[in-house]
Amino acid sequence: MKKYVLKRLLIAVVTLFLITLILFVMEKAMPGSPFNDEKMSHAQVAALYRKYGLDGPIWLQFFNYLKNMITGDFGVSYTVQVNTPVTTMIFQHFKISLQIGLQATILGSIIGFFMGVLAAVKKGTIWDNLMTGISVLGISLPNFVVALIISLIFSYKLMVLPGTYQQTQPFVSSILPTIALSTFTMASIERYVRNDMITIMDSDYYRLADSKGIKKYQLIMHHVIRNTLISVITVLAPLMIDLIAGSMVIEKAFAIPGLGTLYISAIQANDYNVVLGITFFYAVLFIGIMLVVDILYGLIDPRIRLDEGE
Amino acid sequence: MKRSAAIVSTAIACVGMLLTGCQKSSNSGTQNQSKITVVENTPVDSLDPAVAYQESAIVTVANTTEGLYTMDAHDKPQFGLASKVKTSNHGLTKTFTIREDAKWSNGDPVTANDFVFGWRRFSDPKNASPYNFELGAAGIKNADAITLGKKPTSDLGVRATGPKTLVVELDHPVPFLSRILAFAPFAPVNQKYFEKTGKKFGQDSSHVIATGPYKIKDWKLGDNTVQLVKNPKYWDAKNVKVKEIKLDVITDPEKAAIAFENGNADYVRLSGQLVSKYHKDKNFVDEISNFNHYLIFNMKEPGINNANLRKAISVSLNRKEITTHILKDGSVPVHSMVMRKLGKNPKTGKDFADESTTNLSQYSPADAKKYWNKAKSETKLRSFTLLYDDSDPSYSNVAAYIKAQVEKNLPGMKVNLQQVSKKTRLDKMAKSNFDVGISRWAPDYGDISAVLNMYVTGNASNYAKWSDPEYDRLIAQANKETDLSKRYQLLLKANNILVDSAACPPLYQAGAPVLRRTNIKDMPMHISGVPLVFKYVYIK
Repeated sequence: MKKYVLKRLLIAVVTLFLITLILFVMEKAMPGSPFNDEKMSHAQVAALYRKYGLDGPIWLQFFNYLKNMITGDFGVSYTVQVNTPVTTMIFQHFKISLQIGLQATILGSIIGFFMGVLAAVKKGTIWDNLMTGISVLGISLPNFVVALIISLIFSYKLMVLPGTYQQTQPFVSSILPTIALSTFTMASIERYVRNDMITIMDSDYYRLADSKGIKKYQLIMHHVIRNTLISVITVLAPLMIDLIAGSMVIEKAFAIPGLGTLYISAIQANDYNVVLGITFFYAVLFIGIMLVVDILYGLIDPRIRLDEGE
Repeated sequence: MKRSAAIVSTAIACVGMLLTGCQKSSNSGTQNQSKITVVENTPVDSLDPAVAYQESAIVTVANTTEGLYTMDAHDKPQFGLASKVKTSNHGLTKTFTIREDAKWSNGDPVTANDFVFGWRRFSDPKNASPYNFELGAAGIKNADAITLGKKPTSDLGVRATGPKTLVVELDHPVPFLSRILAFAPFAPVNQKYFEKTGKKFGQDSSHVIATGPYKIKDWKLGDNTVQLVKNPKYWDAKNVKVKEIKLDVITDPEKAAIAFENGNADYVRLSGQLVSKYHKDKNFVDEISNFNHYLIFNMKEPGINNANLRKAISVSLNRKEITTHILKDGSVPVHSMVMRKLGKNPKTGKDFADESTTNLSQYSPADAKKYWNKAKSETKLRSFTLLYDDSDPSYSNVAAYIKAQVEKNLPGMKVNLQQVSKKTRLDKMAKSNFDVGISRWAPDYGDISAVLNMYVTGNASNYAKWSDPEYDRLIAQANKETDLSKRYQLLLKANNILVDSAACPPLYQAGAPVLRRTNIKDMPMHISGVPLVFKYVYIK
């Protein structure tokens, strides 16, 4: 197990290095610089290049960047939030994305879970069909369409919830984005739970327990839901990363100053350090969570312990 | 499955009808008489006067850190922290007296040294302040040499001869000095406070102090809301009527308009597409922006530098059609390099933009044909690429229109369109790596020279790389001229030379349609410098 984790960690470090290198080179190769502006004279741009150490050869810039990165210094922003350390910016913006992502995960999985249970228990009835219909809609409707519909209804027509993010009311203004973001999770979990429960309810051990005369409620709670929960947790991790990192469209739709919004503005403004910093952060997040999930799989089910499994 | 789909759709339709049936009428807004919410479309990038660049940042800095002057609701400069000024040495020395009652929000008195320190920081090439060229435009002694790093900041023509006496020395007299000094980067900086806060200066509301009518409450970089509350220590606090101004950053104009309709905003800018929806609304105000749009010809490019070709293209475009059929947002055709409302004839009061006598930007298919026939014999160029960026959704339509008009009026000429990001466009233009491009310019201070200075030989923003010794001479002469009428005539002559060259034919001045609550008074959009000044605003 140790060897496996070490190997995975090593691969992670190499991946991160490559991501940083490729992105660094690509950024420099892109047309334009952070300081292209109608108002800036050549002398001013040259002064800014000197100030931020962008005037040296590219390998030296990369070396310096790596050196600083190891000490946790990801540089400062050149244009978006001038002279602010990139780590501070990521932290500030990520807090908002994380809050909405977590809320959406919790909301989506709880509702999806109950919908799935209802559909499985009432299999073949109108309830099952209704739940199936809702989840088909949830999977097939892109979340920005949901965002538009709910902001039209609750913000524009009824005027009960803000349609754009209000810094002064962080929770109230996170309600609509949370709902829009949670629909896919809700629908996925519903499908997953329903199918899993139906498989379990078809299994021999369920039939045996049923024939022993155990009450239906107890059967469901102890033998079906418990087993289903394990599989729900395994699908939840990748869904959660998607929600936290993939909420750019929703952030745009509700004018949320989250990490996605910052990422887009940094790309548009050629703000090198910010783009690099956020990409690195996302990469660490993905690689880290996938690593943890893989390790957890191994702990839960020794058959998955890849290279030690044979 | 069919049954379930029917049930689901019926259920959704019922909920939808139920909810939309409860529609409330549009909120009238500004219910709270002491608060105004203004929507900005760019986030604040810094609160440091030397670094702030985005419009929202300039508005925030200018309304919290007043300088020597401020602009009133009629776009006239009024004394801010200065109480009087004495001019001597043939207009080359200005001695300002700082108000006795001018205080920082931490209680420190505002001193002349705060200006010396602030302006030296502003001029320091190490800070590479985006607006530092304005020090030169203001004529402050040695400013250009200092911003280029050729002289130390201590050589800047500003010094304190007493705690409340500020002496400003100029290289040449500047008739619009009070206007330019009202701009945000000319704000004072409290040296003691600055040294205490160090690198954090200007990065959040706990690391700035105010001298102006408002101060910032709870804000850090990246927040999309800036709350400005009345500054009780402001010298003229009794005349500041609105207690709180909230700046909300919403980049999407449609979202901003919805916020206005919901009563969550009191002042929003509209995009061209929204004008037809709101132009009959009682809150609709058809303001004109300070952006003039131009076609820029690359004079380094053989063929493109052919004068007849450029003239043919310029007169082949019907600017009226662009503004009324394509933009539809209150934009107006311009026939002068200088935008409307920027300068007036000191004798007659006529707008400079209307005094341009050249007709090289007037639509005339017959003239286009004439110039094109001449050009055809002088150059083999039969196609060019029109470069434009994606910073405004209307540019694609304008570019498509130009292509269609040029190809129609100049038979045999083919126009290729190239859309890139704004940074890429500027990069290409700065490197002369383009044929013809669409560009825009807004003056940074309220004088005609803010536009015309740009086309002087060697100016970094002169993307056409156009050069004319007579033009350079006229501008240099105008910059030294103290007689306002003579100066005006020199600038007018220069303008006409530039328009006649068709190197950068003016196209249109963009409209700035806004929704502003009818009860908000004295909050116009200023054509140059700080766009919104809140000191004089009141709610009726």
